[in-house]
Amino acid sequence: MEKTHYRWMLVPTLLFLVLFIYVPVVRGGVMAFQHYNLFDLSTLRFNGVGNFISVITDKHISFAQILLNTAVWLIGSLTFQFILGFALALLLRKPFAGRGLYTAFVFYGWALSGFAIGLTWAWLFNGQAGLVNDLLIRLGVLDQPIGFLSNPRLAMMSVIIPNIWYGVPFFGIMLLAALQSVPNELYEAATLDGAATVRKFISVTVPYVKPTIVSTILLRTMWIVNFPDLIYAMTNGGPVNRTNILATQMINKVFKEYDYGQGSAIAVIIMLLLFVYAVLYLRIVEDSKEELL
Amino acid sequence: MNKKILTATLFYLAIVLIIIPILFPFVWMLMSSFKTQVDIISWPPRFVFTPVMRNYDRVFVEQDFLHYMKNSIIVSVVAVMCSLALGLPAAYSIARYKQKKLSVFILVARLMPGISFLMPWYIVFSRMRLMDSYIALILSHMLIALPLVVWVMSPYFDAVPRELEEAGMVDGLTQQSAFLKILLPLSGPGVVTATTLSFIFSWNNFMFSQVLSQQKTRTLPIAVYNFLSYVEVDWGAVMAAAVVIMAPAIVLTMFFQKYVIKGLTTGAVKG
Repeated sequence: MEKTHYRWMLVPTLLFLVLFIYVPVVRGGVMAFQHYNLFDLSTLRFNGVGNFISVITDKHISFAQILLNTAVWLIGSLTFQFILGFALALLLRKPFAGRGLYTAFVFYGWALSGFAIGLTWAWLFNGQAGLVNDLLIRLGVLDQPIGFLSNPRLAMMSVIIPNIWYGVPFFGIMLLAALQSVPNELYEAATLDGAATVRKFISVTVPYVKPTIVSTILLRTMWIVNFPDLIYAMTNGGPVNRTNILATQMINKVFKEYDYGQGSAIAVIIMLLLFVYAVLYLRIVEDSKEELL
Repeated sequence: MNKKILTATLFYLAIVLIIIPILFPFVWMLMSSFKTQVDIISWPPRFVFTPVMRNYDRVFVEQDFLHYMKNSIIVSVVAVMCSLALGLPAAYSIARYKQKKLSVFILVARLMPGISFLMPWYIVFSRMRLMDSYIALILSHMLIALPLVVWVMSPYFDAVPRELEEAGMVDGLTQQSAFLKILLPLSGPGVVTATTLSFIFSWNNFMFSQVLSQQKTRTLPIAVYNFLSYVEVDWGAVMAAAVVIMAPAIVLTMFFQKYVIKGLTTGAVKG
């Protein structure tokens, strides 16, 4: 009897999520198999895997290029977010004067609007009067200003850097909390056993925070793949599609071509890729699965 | 002893060097927002200049950002309040009944790529003539806030001993009023955390409002996006607009720093 009391309290939330997320996602999944152009609804019909074929064999925008962009965007962002976030967490683990305030300032970035951050970095990377150009010229790296966001070879790097900047606090906050929960006795025991600093890091610290690393990497992967705000603010996928990732391409299909069918097909591709990734990833790091769920 | 001093010096040098690239983009944005049109495009960039309010005038007087700010506040505040109303009982239920599968169901909802369900939303809401209404926007922002409330709150409720409610129920309270009068007040910090986090994530959201709002209900980031297309080169005004978007989130995190960091770590991943 008591159980039913608890249970009904969950019902409104579940209904809400089913109605507003799960049903629309399924509807979107159906749409991926329909010819669905908002400007010409008279042609609305099922067209099998036609949308997927159109997306993959698109003559104007190479799908392989978009997949490659997405991979570079993900791996570049994630690797440096993780390394820098972990380094920062290690640095801030032990108390020092002003640590609380310092931590607040170091980690403030997570709370900012991704779109506004994109605007700020677009201005920093500006090709005429941007500060990054000025800095690099003063350091003697460049002779004259270059257009970071308009140069096809530099554009991807120029959107990944702000994304690293934006994501480091997430890793830092998570890993710092995990590091602070490592019992001191473990380090003391390791010291008694004569372990050096590096040895302690590998044998005590890393195993202890591994579950946090595993779950944070998984969640951040989902976030980074589904996070077009920054690219949207900085390059809009350009120049010549060099920063066009799956998420931005999906938005272009919807807003520029009004092709909801192909847009939905890309959404299905993203979800499938992420699902496969999550399954493989969790299988590789099997023993941490319990911790996440 | 000398080695100790050297290590300490290196440590403080490191933390000073680290904070520069972290804070500088924000400082530069703030400086640019107070520059004149001439100062902003001068080459090399000027670090010393006479600050002017011109860009903020443009943003607030010419572009009527107060209106969009009001939209952002309405959407975020109402979405967070509705999410608390639905999410607090749900979190309680998950904490007491250990419904892990269901909490995963809620997490998965949070990880769905937004635009995959926004297309059907757009079609349904335009058919119902609810486009450009606060209702559509508030419902969509609840999709951000509600899972967060549930994920942040259930560990807090879990930490309160069951005996406390049972004692209250022996004294004649129903389970619902035991929840409201005993459990909820004890979980105050959790509620502050959940509210702040979901407000910030709702405030910063770009995609939902981009799809579901038009002139009347446009939120701040979308207003800036539209403003961008016709002032392409006026970086001073764009930076002033970026400051206006970021300011509330910065003030909130500074105030609720302790709660927010704890919420991000305890609630965001583990159930």
